[in-house]
Amino acid sequence: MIYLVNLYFTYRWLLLECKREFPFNDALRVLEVMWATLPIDSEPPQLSEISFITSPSDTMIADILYRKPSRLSKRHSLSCPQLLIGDESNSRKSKHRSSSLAYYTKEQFLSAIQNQQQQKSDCKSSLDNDDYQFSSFKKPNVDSNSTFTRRREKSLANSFSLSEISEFASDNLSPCTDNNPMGTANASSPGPSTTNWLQRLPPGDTTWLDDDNIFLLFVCVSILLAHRTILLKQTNLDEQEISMHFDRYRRRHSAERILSCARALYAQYIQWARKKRMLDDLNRFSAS
Amino acid sequence: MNDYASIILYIMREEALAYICFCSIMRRIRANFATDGVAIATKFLHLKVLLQAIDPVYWNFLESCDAGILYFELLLKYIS
Repeated sequence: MIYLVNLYFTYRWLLLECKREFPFNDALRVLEVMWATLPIDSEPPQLSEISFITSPSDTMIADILYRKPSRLSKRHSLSCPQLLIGDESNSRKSKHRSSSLAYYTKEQFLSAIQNQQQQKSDCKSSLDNDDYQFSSFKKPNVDSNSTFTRRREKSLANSFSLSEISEFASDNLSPCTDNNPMGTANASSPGPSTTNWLQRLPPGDTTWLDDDNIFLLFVCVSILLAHRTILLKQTNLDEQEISMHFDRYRRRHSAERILSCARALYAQYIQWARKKRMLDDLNRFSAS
Repeated sequence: MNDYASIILYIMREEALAYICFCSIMRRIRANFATDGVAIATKFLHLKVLLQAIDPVYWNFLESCDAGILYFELLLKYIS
């Protein structure tokens, strides 16, 4: 058997779903995004369990009424990648909303749902300032935007505390897009193109498609790609040194960048997988 | 596992609710913590295939750096 690199340094990433690769607030965000991509549990919790969580009857109604559209849209997002990111921010918003809905009357609540439907159409535009903000759970009335930006600045300061990291952040995510502006490491190769990597996937092998958390794999790949130029510059590394290198960046990655890279790759993959499944079905149908 | 428990407790702010969530999450990821390591090995394989496809140059570089880290060392370190 030929020696194959085993990527053992990614063990922690896979086991803990990259929780330790980001600063705490970023890790919350990454995990929320990641868990939002997971398929719905085949056995949804009983309503009695839900009522156990929210005791007042008004919120219970709100929750039950609300749960239906969000569940539908989630299922939708599994089959339709374009909606995925929009749905994500939408469901985040909805979580936000349902907490404040408890004080609405029923009419207000219904109109709020209609608003929600309308917002679905323009959630793409709101994507730029989609805010994951935990502090809003505690005090929803405080001006949330200002606290958020402060938070964001703080977390950015955390994640770019070293000068080498700011360097790493500025240019190293480029391999996810088409070309590498640094060009040094990439000069010998055409560079990974955004679309044709899908053709390089092992043909006909669908066993790995049903990994229980595909998005995690894409996050891991994005983290690896973020270190691409730094690692490629060095020679005579062994795997131990590589894992030490990644250990140094523990809790220091920027969720924003890693997530945008992972999302782009994931969207491409989902689209491709969908097309492939459709073609397979078509072939099977025409064969029979 | 404490990594999962800590974030859940931070979000839920109540031990009883956090416990319910933790149970659900562990139901999903239970296989990752199995001592035979089959689930994690599959994930390694998937990651390998994915990286190989996305960036062959990078992959060849990593492959050339190959040296064995003892997998069970890591297993013992994080399973607690």
